[in-house]
Amino acid sequence: MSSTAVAEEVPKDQPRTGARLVVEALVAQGVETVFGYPGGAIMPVYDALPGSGLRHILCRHEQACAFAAAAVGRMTRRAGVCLATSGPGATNLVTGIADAYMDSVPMVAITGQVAQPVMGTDAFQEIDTFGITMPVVKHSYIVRNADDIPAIIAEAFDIAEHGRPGPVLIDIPKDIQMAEGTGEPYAGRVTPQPCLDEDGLRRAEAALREAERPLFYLGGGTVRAGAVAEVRRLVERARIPAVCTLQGLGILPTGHEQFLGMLGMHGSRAANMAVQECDLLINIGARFDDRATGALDRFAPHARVIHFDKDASEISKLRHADVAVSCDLKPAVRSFLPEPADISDWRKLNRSRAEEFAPSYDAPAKGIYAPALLKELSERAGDGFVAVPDVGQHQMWVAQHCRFSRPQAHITSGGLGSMGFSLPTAIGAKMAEPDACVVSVSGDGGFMMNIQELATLNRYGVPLKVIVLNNSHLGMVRQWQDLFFAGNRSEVDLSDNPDFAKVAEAFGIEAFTISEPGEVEGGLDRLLGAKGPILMHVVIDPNENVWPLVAPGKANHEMMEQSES
Amino acid sequence: MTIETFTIESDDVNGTLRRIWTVIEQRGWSVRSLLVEEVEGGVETRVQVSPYGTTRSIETLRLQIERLHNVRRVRLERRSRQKPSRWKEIPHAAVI
Repeated sequence: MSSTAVAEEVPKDQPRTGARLVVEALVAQGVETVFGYPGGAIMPVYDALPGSGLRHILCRHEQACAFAAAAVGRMTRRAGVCLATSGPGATNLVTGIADAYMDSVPMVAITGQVAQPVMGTDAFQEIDTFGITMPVVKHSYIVRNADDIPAIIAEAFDIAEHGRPGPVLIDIPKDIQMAEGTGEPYAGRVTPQPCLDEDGLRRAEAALREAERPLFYLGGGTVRAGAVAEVRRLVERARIPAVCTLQGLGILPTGHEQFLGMLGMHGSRAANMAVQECDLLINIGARFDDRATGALDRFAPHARVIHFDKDASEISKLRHADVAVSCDLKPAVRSFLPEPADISDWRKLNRSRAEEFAPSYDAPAKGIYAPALLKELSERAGDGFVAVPDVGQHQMWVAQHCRFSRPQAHITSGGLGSMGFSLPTAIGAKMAEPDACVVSVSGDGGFMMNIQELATLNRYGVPLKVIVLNNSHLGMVRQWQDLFFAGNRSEVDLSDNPDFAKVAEAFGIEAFTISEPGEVEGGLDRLLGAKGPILMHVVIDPNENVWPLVAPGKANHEMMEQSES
Repeated sequence: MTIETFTIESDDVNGTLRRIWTVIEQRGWSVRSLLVEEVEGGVETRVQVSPYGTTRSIETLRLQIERLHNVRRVRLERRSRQKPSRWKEIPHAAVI
């Protein structure tokens, strides 16, 4: 599986190939693992890999390489690296790159390109990777000179990891990989000094002194900025209730007395009511995403808004900010010294609502009730638990019902909503944090989109726990068709799925199926006790829905409950 | 038609112009005219843009361009006094 050839040491001032410069520059960045798939236009880099000190993980599809690399960024806040060839290799990366872009995840994608003399001639496996990826990267390069490689790679990491993080693409023509160069030193000009918006902070403090019903609205920007500890201290010092976005789950641990839950389309009733009734919304690192706000013109209708965001272009993009604090979140939150008025009644009201509207698990479903299973899973897995849901109904059940002790305990495709996300991302997350109890949770639809990564799991013996919640449907689409398209179930039936346990076994993975409520406890015992990779296939009710739900075009307080369906 | 005018100062790097154009089109605006000039140490691009729909903020677009890596500064030169936007694009679906 790995080559035993060892690269010869080349003195720093001696010329070496562009490909060698690539791997040396990655090592210099502290990269230990790259996720990739070889092909014609990236072969010189693969030739330079053995003995370089880099661990290469051969996924079975480039999309999986991108998801796995981004998982490293999501877990560590350092850019993960993926590698692919030109043409289809590069286009297969695009979904993973776009996913990282939408969730502001640091990542460096390196693609081979056809040699410069044939670029623009429709050469074999030639595609305009630079152009195709332009809308979904923070920055990108086509390398024109081997000497530039060390500086470009260093700068790419700098750009990917600093400011608002995001993916950076480096497209390297094959002749540049084969050309010799020495490499120009990197001037390190990108990393800015942390900035602090003192004026904005003082105005925010003044706004808070006047508020009677303040509320924190916490988003993924807090996590990307590494400001979780600061935000927790702020929330506890201010004793103001808080809601989180999907990407912000875990900023406050589940069960924290000030935490009202996730807001938005599938948020908790307590969270959505608090948002609709607050008179001051303190947004830290959230972007007023439509899944969080519902009808934007009726979102938080009584509230003034304080918006903390590193990215100035997010301020007033969707909702006018009465007070903008546009700077690095960590120092800003540290310097924010709120002295709220007496809000004890507001606090009590929200606490009582959180208790009143807490989910119940008294088996409303036929067969296994997935929300109860997921809740039990997270409680039994403990603080090391990391859930990596795919996209769909089960994703919302994970968000609603699992317990998270930290944001890295919940790795989800929020912005792009990419089916097929879970399995490769979970592999990357487990490699980034080997001691964590990483659980991939997929639906039957999404699981089929990257099912080939069971081979990666087996190849490297990654001790990952995989759950497939199988309702034999594209469940979320089916739910919307039932609710909003007069029950016209169009192309959502997946009852011809393969037997997932048998498929996993064919890949060399231990697997089993449960289908009755009485089998849940034993199934979780087996899943959590496994030393190696394991898959638990769970047959669930195909008619189960995600509740509550804010219908499209409705305001967040107009939530539908199961009884109203 | 609502037309806004930017002057964009950027590094002279291949791809910057294309990146600026991409952001404008991606964020719900249309490029109506463009003039690129070399200036000392870089490039100055004067671009006129027009929004799709009535909800686009020119300041948000300015900041979305300014956050690009090789862009140094974006100045809003002439701000339209008209509310955006009376200009209508034929939707692709209608053409098909």
